[in-house]
This record gives sequence, structure tokens and C-alpha cells, in this order.
Amino acid sequence: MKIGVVGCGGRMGRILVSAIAAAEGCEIAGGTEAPLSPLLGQDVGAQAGLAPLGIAVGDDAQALFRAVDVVVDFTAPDATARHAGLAAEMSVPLIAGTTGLAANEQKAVEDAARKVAIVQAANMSVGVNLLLGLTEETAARLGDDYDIEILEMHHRHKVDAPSGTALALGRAAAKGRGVELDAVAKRVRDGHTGPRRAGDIGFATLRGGDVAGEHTVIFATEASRIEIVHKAISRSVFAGGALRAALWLDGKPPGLYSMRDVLGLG
Amino acid sequence: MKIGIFGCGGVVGRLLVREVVATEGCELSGGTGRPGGALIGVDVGEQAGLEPVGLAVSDDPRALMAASDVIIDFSLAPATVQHMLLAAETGCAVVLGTTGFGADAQAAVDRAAADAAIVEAPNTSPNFNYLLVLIERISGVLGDEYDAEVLSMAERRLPFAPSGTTIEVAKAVAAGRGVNLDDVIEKVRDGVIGPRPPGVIGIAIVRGGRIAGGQRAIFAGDDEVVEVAYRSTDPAIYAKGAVAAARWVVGKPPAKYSMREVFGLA
Ligand SMILES: NC(=O)c1ccc[n+]([C@@H]2O[C@H](COP(=O)([O-])OP(=O)(O)OC[C@H]3O[C@@H](n4cnc5c(N)ncnc54)[C@H](OP(=O)(O)O)[C@@H]3O)[C@@H](O)[C@H]2O)c1
Repeated sequence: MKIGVVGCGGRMGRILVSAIAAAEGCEIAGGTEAPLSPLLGQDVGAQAGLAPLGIAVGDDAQALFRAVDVVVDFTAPDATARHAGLAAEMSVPLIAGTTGLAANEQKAVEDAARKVAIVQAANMSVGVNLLLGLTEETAARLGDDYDIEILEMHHRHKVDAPSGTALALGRAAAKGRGVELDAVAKRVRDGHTGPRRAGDIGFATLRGGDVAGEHTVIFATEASRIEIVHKAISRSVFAGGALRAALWLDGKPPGLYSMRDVLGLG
Repeated sequence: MKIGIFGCGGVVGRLLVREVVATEGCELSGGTGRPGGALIGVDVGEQAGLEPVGLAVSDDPRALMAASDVIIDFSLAPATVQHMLLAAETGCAVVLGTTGFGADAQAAVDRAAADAAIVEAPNTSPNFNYLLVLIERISGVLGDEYDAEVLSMAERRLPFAPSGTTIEVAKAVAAGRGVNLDDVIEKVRDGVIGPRPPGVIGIAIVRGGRIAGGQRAIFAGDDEVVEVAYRSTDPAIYAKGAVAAARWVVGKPPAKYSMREVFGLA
């Protein structure tokens, strides 16, 4: 499968280029950067720290779309909106990993998805998406007799708590139970808390060292407990998911898909 | 419904006596103990910490089968072949909770299932059986690019390894990948073992304490790790699950059934 990487010189772009080059059945068929980028004309492989691939970094996204089976986009919101338009126009599926899209940019992606298959996900990690899907399913299945708690740990530099992924897991659990997270979230416990309120979804936050990110969802009832855990080890974790999405997209009808669709988690 | 208990004087056996007596619609038809053991002739209820129920612990499993709609067997592995031959002979349904038996007993179970309804139930906890569903899903989504390991802890008195529960976990991992556990299981690591062969399912065994047990399936990828874990702290859950299985299996045609079928998780 021929894959194009827009924004191939960014931090995400370089990781994607390496992952695609190493994956069986996949081939890097082009890379772009913004006009005026100092990377233009350099070898796509070499600039990502690989052996040269014999393809120069270009600035013509349209030409890139013409040359590939699927495009992977981890760039900036305005660029992603434009790329979605090109994907629709040229019938080339797109994987959109860019976050922070404004309403009009998101609408551009959704409009494009009426004409071409697009996978969009704020977090492409296979493991995190698996956790999100199974948390919702388990919360629905196990019912209210199980107390749900979400524990996360991240490196000492992280400034917000709970992490975005922890909150997403909380929303998945709440959805499984058919409630709104805001109505049941217990984000802080300190002092005389009283007994745990039935139906609460509790959060606990740990910070320290260089932990890349760990999340545990706990379902606890009398005398037994189930835990589902995800531990990120490297920052390349999203690339494996993007690759799976690329292979999955082959031949899919137009539509806006999530990583849960890609992983078959319904 | 008349329920008889093989091994009624054991840790789980005594809990079973109490559970059957306490469950509406169930009637205790008797219990057996090890022939020649100290419990033979003692009141089944009394030895389980209840008021006398007017039934003496017997050493005649055939007679108890004849007097029962279903047998719950939590005796010990050396008795399994005999118990299965009797099930085939009498057609009496059995919930087989005994674990740790060998290939000959396994063959006897499979043969008995032609003439009697047998629930093969190496772990009767509903949570544990839901865990197996999760493990199989996770294993299927992640595939063998993620190294799968099973870590298992059980109480100090368990005299064999891996336990039936551990094998269930490892089988769920193998089933998710569509492989046969016997072909990929790696049970012992000691000394210079060389790098981990791809595709194996490794098992590590921990023993200690009196009651608590836990299972953890670990899926370790290059960039992320997914784990699912289960802990239980009260064997009463096994008795509850076994009685649920007994009620479920009465009236079912001869065949081998699993606890996942009993709980509607298959
Ligand atoms: N399926 C599950 O969920 C689950 C859960 C826990 C345990 N287990 C399994 O269930 C079995 C029992 O566990 P446990 O913890 O209750 O063990 P246990 O306390 O040793 O109980 C076994 C009982 O069976 C008796 N027994 C031995 N041979 C017998 C025979 N031929 N006929 C009738 N009774 C006989 C033993 O008597 P003596 O003491 O006189 O030998 C003992 O009272 C084990 O195989 C264990 O691995 C299964």
C-alpha cells in the first residue's frame, strides 16, 4: 500500500515515516511540508533519520494525493481542513490525527467524509482505543454493583489533571452506564469524605519521574475486582495505530470513522 | 431441584453446602467425602457449620447421583475419572469444579459428555469468566506483535501449577490469536533462556497467603503495554457460581458446556 505523509518533517511526521518504512506491505510514496520549509527538496527518508528513499520532500499536496493510496495527516488544524478537501476531491482516504480543530475545520472534515473514507482520532494508540471501548462495554455489562475508579500516572512535567485520556475513560464508563460523567465524577478526595457514593466514578492522579502515561480502570465489587491497564512506553505509540488505520481504510466506503471502527470494537 | 455435592467437606465443598441450603428452589440431596476419610458418616450440614440436615457424608457417589438432579463436584483430581464414568452410566448432570486432572480424566470428561450434561468449570466466578471474554477480545485486537504473558497468583496450599484458572487465562489469550495453547505455551524459564521466541505465551506462577488469588494477562508491544487483571478475595463466589451453573444445566441435553455459556458470555 502506497502511503503519503503530509507534514513529513514534523515530530509526528518523522515517526510516521520510520514506522511506515519498517512496516510490511506498506511503502512511503511521498511527503510534503509547508511552502518555504527548509526541508523542501531533502530526501523524505534521510530527514527522518533513515536511509534515503529516493523521494524528495515536496510542497504540492495535490500531487502527493495523486500518487498514493492513502494519506496520513498529523499537521495543523487549518492544513488538515484543506487536506480533507483534497481527499474528497481526489477520492483518496485520509487519516486525520491532528487535534484542536475549530468548528469550521471540523465541518470541513465531516463534509469531506461524505465523499471519501476518513479515520479521525485524537489519540491513535491501539491500546488506548481498546481501553476506551472495553471500558464502556464493561461498565454497561457489570452494572452498578461495581465501583469504577480511574487511576493515572504521568511524568512530573505534566500540568493538568486528570489527564485527557483519564477523562475520556471516565466518559466511556459513564456512557456505558447511561449517565453524564459530570454528574458522577469524583475528582478529588481529601479529609472526611464519607463513604463512597454509589455510582460515582472516581479519579486518582499520580505524578512523577518520566512516566510516559499509565491508565488503570478498576471495576471493584465485593470480594473481587477487574482492572484494565494501559501503559505508554514511547511517543511513537500513535504510529502503530495510524498504520492499522491505513491498512483498514483500503476499499472502505465514504464515512467518518473512529479508531474503534478500525479495531472492530463496534 | 436436588443438588448433591462431591467433596462436600472441602473448603469450597462446605461453602457449597451452605449456598445450596440457602438457595430457594434448591434442595440438598447429600454429599460425599474421600472414602475412608474422617468425615464419612458425619452430618453434611453440621460439618459445614450449619444445623444438622439429616444427611450423612457418604462414600457412595453412585447412590448420590441416583438421588440427585445434578451433582456439583469440588473433590480432588484423583476422583475425576471415576466420577465421570458414573455420570455417563447414570446420565446425571455434573458441574465439574475440580481442577488439576490429567489427560486421562479429560478424556473421561469428554466421553461422559456424550451421555450426560457436563459443565466443565475450572473457575465458576462470573467476574473471572467475564475476564476471559475481555482477554480474548484484547488478544484478538492486538495480535502477536504484542508479547503475551500470564502472571498468576494463588493461595499457598494449591498443590499443582499452572492452576486450572491460569490455563483458562492462557487459553483465552491463545483463542484470541487463533492458535492452540499447547503449541505456544512457555511454562518454565530458568537459567540462560535466550531471547523470547516470537508468538509464545509465557506463564509465571506466584504462590502465597491463604485465600486471595489473582490473574494478570500482559500484552507488551514495542510502544505500549495493555494489561487486564482480576483479583478475588473470597472463595464463596465459587460456590455461588457453581450453584448458578447447576440450576442452568438441569434439563440440558448431554454435552460439554462451559461457564461462559452458563453466564451467557460465549
Ligand atoms: N472451579 C472453581 O471455581 C474452583 C475454585 C476453587 C477450587 N477449585 C478446585 O476444586 C477442588 C476442591 O478445592 P478445595 O479448595 O475445596 O479443596 P479441598 O479443601 O482440598 O477439598 C477437596 C475435598 O474433596 C475431598 N475428597 C477427596 N477425594 C474425594 C473423593 N474421592 N470423593 C469425594 N470427596 C473427596 C477431600 O477430602 P480429604 O480432605 O479427606 O482428602 C476434601 O474434603 C480442587 O480441585 C480445586 O482446584 C475449583
